[in-house]
Amino acid sequence: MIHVDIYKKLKYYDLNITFEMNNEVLVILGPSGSGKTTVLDCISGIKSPDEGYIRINDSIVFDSYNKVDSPVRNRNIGYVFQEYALFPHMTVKGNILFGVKSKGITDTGYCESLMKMLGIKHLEARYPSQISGGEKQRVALARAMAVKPDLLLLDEPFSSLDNETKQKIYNEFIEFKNIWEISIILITHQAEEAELLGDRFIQIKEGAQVCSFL
Amino acid sequence: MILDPILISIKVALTATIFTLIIGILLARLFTKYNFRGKDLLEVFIILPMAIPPSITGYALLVLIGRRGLIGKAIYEAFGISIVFTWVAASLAAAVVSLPLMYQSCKSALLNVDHTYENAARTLGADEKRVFWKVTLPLALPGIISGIALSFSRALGEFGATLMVAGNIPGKTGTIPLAIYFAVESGDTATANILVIVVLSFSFTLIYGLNRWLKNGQNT
Repeated sequence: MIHVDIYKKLKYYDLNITFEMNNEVLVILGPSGSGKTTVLDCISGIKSPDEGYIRINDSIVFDSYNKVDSPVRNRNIGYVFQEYALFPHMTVKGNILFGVKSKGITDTGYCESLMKMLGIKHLEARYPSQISGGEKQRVALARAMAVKPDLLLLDEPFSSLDNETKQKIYNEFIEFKNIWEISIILITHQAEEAELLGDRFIQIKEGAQVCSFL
Repeated sequence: MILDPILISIKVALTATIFTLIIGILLARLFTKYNFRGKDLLEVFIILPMAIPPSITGYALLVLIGRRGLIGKAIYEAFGISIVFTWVAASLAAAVVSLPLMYQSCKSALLNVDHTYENAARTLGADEKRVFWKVTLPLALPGIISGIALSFSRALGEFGATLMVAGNIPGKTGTIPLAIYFAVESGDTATANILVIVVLSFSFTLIYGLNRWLKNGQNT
């Protein structure tokens, strides 16, 4: 169970969002600059809300009342960034194993099976600059999933893909979400994408929840 | 012997560069990551040797490390060693004048690293030490290597401060710039010409090689 109830004062507006979710895909829909990425940054710990409460399964990672603010590395969250943020100086395999090594896990069998599942095993020796946008997207997903996160955050992961690749990835996404059974928060500004991939929806505008289909 | 100034210069410049590399990265990291009282003032002190005549830097060093200097006196009394007029003093002078270049290069290299990569590493469970060594530093490497090349070249060409604290003792502290100056002064233009060619060839190769390396890095 994920519980998010946060408030953060931003430069031009106040961000205010509340939701609960459990092993489903929650889509946060909104135009550019509406505060969508800030929501993910607050949940992952990259930014701190001014007030509020965030619980990921059994652990309270942020609680302004009790002054709890867990560091990013302890939140066990998978985050696929908008431009993927693959480490350019590491190979595909190096990128995927980074989290596993950070957490001191020696068994890399799960990473190998993830690479096979996502069809990127043959790319393991290549660098991010040597693979296509769709392949980068899969590598970023594999890297985020390699640490077996409790929550997966996807920040407009399909925005830089061409239409053909997008359709293929959408189908894969639907397939994987059923296999992985974890809570996923997907950010997008495209209504069709939200409708196709999401189980529940929150629409935000200038930081405020204007409409929810929870 | 003509080889002596070349060997001394390489030893002095290498020592100074290793020293400035360690201090430069540490200071750049400190100044880019943390805010503390007196930060701006301390930064001025680091960069100051770039803006003042090397003879002033040399004089300040002499006040500090001379046998009657603040630090030099303590070292002499504790160990019976005098730093001035040794290759160590020449290295120290070269390090102080080349540190601003190293510091500036490292600082801009660290500032240019996209924070998204560092945040991605944190979400993958990396602690701050691992983020720095595995992500920040490798991504800042081209800028740091530029700093190494610039600092080494500056250390190799150091004259004023070196003359003040290390003098020109042939075979001991006589670096290439000092040897050229004293060769010209004594009318030995043959030695001066050879040393000039050595320095020019070395500096040209270094800068050309660095530019090629950086260009190749951008293309891959």
